[in-house]
Amino acid sequence: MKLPCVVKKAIECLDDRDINVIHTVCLGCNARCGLRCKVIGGHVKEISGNPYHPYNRLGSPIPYGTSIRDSINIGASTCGKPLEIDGYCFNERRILVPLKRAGKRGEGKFEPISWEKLIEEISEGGRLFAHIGEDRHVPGLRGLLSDEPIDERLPWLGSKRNKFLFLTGRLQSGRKEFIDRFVKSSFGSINRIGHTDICGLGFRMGNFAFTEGRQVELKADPWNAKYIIVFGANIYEALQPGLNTYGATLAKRHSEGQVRFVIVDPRAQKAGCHAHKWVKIMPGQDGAFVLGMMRRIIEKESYNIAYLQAPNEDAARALGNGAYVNATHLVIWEKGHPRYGRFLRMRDLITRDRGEKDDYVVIDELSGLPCSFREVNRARLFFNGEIDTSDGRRIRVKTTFQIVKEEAFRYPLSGFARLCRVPEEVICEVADEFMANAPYSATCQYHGAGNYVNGTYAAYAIAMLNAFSGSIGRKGGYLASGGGFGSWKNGRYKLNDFPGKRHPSGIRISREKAKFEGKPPAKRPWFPFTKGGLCVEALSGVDEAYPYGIDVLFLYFFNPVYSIPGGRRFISTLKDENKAPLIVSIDIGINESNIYADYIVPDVTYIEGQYGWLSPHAPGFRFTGLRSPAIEPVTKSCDDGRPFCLETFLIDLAKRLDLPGFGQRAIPVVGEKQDQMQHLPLNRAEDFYLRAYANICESAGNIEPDPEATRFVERNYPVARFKDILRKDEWEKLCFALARGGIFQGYEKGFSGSIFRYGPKRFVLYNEVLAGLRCSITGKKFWGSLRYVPPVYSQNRDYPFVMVSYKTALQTQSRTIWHKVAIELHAENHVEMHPEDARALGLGDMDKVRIISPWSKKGVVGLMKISDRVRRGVVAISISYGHSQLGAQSLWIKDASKAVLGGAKVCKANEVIGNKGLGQGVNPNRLSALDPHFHNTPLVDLVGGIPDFSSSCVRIEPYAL
Amino acid sequence: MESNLFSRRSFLKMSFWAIGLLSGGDVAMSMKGPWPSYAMIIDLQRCMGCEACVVACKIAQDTPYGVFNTIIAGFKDKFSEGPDLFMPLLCNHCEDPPCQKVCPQGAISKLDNGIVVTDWGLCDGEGLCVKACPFNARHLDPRYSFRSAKCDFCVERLAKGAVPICVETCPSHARLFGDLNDPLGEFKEYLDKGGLFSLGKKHGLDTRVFYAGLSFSENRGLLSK
Repeated sequence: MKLPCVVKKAIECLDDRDINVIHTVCLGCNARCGLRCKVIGGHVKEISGNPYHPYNRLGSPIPYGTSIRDSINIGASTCGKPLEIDGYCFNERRILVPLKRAGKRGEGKFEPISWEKLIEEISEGGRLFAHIGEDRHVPGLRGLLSDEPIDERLPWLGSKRNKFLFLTGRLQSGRKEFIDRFVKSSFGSINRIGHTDICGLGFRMGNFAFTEGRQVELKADPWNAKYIIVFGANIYEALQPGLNTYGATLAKRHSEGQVRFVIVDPRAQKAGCHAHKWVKIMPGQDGAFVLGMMRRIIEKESYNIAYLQAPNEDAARALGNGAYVNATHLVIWEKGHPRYGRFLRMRDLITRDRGEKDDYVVIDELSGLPCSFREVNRARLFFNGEIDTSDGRRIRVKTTFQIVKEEAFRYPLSGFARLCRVPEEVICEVADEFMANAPYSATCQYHGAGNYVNGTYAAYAIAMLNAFSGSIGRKGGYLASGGGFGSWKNGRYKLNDFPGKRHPSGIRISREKAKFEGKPPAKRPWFPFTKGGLCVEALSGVDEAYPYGIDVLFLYFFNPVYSIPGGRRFISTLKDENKAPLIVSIDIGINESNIYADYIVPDVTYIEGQYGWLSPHAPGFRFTGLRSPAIEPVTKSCDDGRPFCLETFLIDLAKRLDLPGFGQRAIPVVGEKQDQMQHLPLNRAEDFYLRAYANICESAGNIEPDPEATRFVERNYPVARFKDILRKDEWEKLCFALARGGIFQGYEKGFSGSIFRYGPKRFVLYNEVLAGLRCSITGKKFWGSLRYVPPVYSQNRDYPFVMVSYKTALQTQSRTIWHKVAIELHAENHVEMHPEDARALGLGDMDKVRIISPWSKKGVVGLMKISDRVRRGVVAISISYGHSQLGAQSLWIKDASKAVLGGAKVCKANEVIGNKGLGQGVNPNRLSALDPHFHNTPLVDLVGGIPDFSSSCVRIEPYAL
Repeated sequence: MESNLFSRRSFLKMSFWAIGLLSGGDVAMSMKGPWPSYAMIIDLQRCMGCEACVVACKIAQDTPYGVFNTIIAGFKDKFSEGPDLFMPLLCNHCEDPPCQKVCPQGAISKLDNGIVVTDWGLCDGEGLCVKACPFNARHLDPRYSFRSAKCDFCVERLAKGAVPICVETCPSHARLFGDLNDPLGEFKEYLDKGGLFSLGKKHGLDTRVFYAGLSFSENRGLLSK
C-alpha cells in the first residue's frame, strides 16, 4: 500500500539515522519555552517541546537527571509559533549581507556594502552619502569617543559618549549582556534602552510600587490557585509563560474542576469559552472595578485579617506565606510635618529601648501601644490617631490599610460600577468568590492591565488584591519568578570586568530614573519612579533633542514605527538627518522602521544563534534555559568564517575603534594558580557566550560531566565545533546542561511547605518613595498608594468607540508575518465589534470599513467581524497584520538576488518584488492617540512613562472609495 | 480543487442537536478490530483554540495550500450564553466509511486498527470519496494528480510508537489518543467517565473520534449584560 505519508516523505523525521536532535529555547515569543529540533540537511524538519523544560509539560518536567536516551521517547508540547521556524529562518525576504542606503531615507533603495566598508563607515563617519547628493558630514562612532560634556553648562547630562543611542526591541539575557558590554562598559554611553514600556510597563509599574522596585512581574500560580482573576492577560493566546504553559495549565485544571478563572477585559478572549465569568469592563477602568471589590471586601470584613495583621516576614511565614505586607505600618499624616507622607520610624518615638531606630512602627494589637514592626506578630490594621513623638510634637499617623480603606470608600459601590460599567452585583460576586477562595485566590495581570495613562494606579490596585486574600508568596497564590541558576559573569571567567571598563553616567535620553531639578513644567516629562526601558520617550527625546540631541542611533531587532501605538509619528524623526544623523539597524529583514536606516546589518534568527540564558517569568519556577543553534547561520560570513550578525558587527566595530573589552586581551580568566590573571580573546560570539555558560554551570551546582550527554552534544549540536574555547571539564559539564536545553528543576523544589522560597519578602500598600516625588510637568506630588484615577479618553459622537488591541495565538508582534501557515490560516485580521453596535451602524460581517481616529483622519481600511466576544462601545483589532514592509512592498536593492535569501524567486534585477499577502489587514497602532501637549508625540503616562494602548477613540464608517 | 469544509474560511458551526450523545456502551460497540484499536478523545473543556495542532499537522502532513487535515471550528452550545467553545475537527475514521463504499478503485481501506487509509497506488483522483464524506474531511491534492487524502492518525508515527502529531503538540492535553482494547491513563478515565459524544450519530455512523466536555461543567455561566 502506497500511503500519502510515504509519498510525501512525512516519515523522514522518524528515521533516526541522519537526524540531529537539539534541545534549545524558543523565541517565537518571549515566553521562553523549550524546543526539541529535529534537523535534517541543514533544515529544522520537526519541532516539539523539550520534556526537561517545565514550560513544555504544564509545569511537570521529566526529572532533570533522566538520561537523554530515555527522554527522546517522551513528548512535550509547544504552541503553533515555533513550528514555523524553518519557514521563518529561510524566509525569501531575509537579508544576507549588509545594506547601505542608496536613496533618500525611506525611499526603499539600498545597495550591498562589504563588511569591511560597513565597519569603516560607521566607525569613522564622513561624507558617506555624497554619491547620492547628500552633502553632509555623517558623524561616526569615533567622533563620540570623548569625555567632554555634551553641554558645558549642564555637565550632569554626561559626556558626548551618550550621544550614541542603542534601542533594543526583542532582547533577552545573553545578547543583552553582550550589547551592554559594547554600549555601556566599552563605548561608555548610558543610552542602551529597552522596550519594556511597549512590552507592558503598566502592570509592571503596579508591581514596581507594590514591591518597592524589587520585582515587576508577579502572577497567580496556575498550578495550585483555586480562583484567578485575569486582568488584561490574554491567557489562551499570549502571556508569558505562554499559552503553552499558563493558559494550557488553566485549561486542563479547569476541565478537572480544580480552578475557576474570571476574565476582566473588554474582550472575552479565547479563554472566555472556559471562563467562570467574563467581566465586560471598559478599557482603562480596571482600577474602578478593583476599588469596588475592595470596598465590598472591607465592608464585609472578609479580608484575610490574619495575613494583613502580620507586620513582618517571620509573622507571615508562620502563616505559610513567603512575604509580608505592610498593612499595619504607620505613615506620618500631619500636614506641615517635614516628613508628612513618610513612614513613622522608631527614632520618631519618645522613649524606646527596643528596636532599631529606622524600624517601621506599628500599633501592637494587644497593648494598643506603638512598637517596632519586628516586635509583634499581630498589629492593628486600622489606626488613624495621634502619637507623641521625640521632638515633643503630637502628630497624626495612619496605618497604610487605613489609607487604602479611605480611598476605597471615596465612591459608593454604585459609583465604581458606573465608572467601569460593570453591574454592582458582579463586582460583589467576584469580590465574595475571591475572598471565599483565599488564600488560594490571586490575580494575573499582564499587558492590558494598566497599559494606559495613569495605569500605575490601576495595576497597583490589582496587585494589592493579593494582600486582601493573603496569597502573596505562597503556593497557589501571587508569586514572583524563582529566577535563574548560576551567574553568567562570576566564575573562572570575569565576563563583566575588563581593563578599561567604563561606567557611564549622566541622563538617559528617555529621562528614566532621573529627577527633574528645574522649575516645572519641564519640556518633556522626567521619570524618576519607573522600571524603565522607555523606548517611546527615548524616541520622543530624539525628536525634540531633549535633554540633548543624539548623533548615532542603533536599532536592534526593533520596529518602533510599527509596534509603538502612534509609532508613525517617529517616521518624521527617523527621516530627519538633523535629529538622527546616523541610523544603523541590526535585523533579519527590512521593516517599517529600518526602511529609514542608513545601514542595515543582517542578523541570525534564534535557530542559528542568539545565544542566551533564559530564566522563567513569574510565577513559580526557577530555571535557566540555554539557547544554542540548531543549524549553522544562514547569513553570509566574513573571510574568517564568522557569520554576519549582531556579535560579529559589534566586535569588529570595537576592534576598529580600539575599544576595551573586545579583541585579543578582553576576558580576564583565573589561571591555574588562583592569583594569576590571564586574558582571553573575544573575537567571536562563542568566545563570550560559551564562557558565560561555563560560569553558569559551575555556579549552578549539581552539574557533573556525563559521557552520554557529551556524546549527544558532540554528535548533534553545531556549537560543539567551538568546544575548544572551554577547558575539557568545563565543556563536559556544559554538555550535561546543553543536552537538556538548560538547567531545570521541578515545581515543588521552589517551595518549603506552602512557602515560596524566592521573590520579594516585603510588599507595601503605601510607597513612600513614590509619595515623595513630584511630577516634572504639573509640579504636584504623586500619590503613593491606592487611588482611582480616571482614564484620559472621552468617547464622543464623532469617535464613539474605544479601540483595544491584542495578540493572536499564532502571531507575535511584527516579525511573525513571515510565518506562512499562520497567514494561510488567517490571511488578515479584523475590526471586531459587538453585534448591537454593528447593527446600529448598519454594518454586517465581513463588510469593508474605514476606521478613523482624530490622529488618522484618512484612517485605515479593514474587514468587519461581528463578535459577541467584544463588549459594546469597544472595537478590538489584533496586532501583527497591516504591514507596509517586511515584504509587503517592492524595494530597490542593487543586485537584489544576491542580497536576499529567496534570490531569483523573489527578485528581478534590482528589485525585491513585493507580496501583497504580507500586507493584509490593519495595524491598530496607526490610529493611536498622540499628545498635543508634547508636539504630538505618542501619548505616555506621567508617572512611569507607560505608552497608551487603551485611550484611543475611533469611528467606523462603511468603506467608500 | 474540490471544495472542502476543512479549508480556512469555512468554520463549521454546529448546534448541540446536530450531534448524538454516545454512551459508554456505544464506545464498546465501536471496538471491532483486533488489538490495537485506535481512537481519539477531544475534551472541549480543554481546547484553547490555539491552533498549534493545525499548524503541526499542516507542516508534518504537507497538505495543499488552504487545506488542512484538522481545523478548529467554533461550537455553539445552546445551553450556554457564553462564547463558543472550540471544536477540533478531523476525519472521524468511521467504522463503515462512506468514502470506502463509493471508491471504484478500492483504494480506501479500513485497517484492523480502525484507521481509514487511502492507497495512492490505487487512487485515481476521481473524488467520489470527497463528496461521500459527511464530515468534509477529505481533499484532493493537485500536486499529486488530485489523489485523495485526509487525516490518517499519523500512521507513520504510530508505526514508530509515537502519537499523532496533533496529540503531541496540544499544549492543554485536549486531544487524547489511545487503544480502545487496552485503554490507559487519562484516555481510560475519559472512557470510564462516559458522556462522550461523536459527530457520527447524526449520520448513522460509528466513529473513532469522541468529544468530551460539553457544557456540563459548572463553569458555563458567563455574564452577558
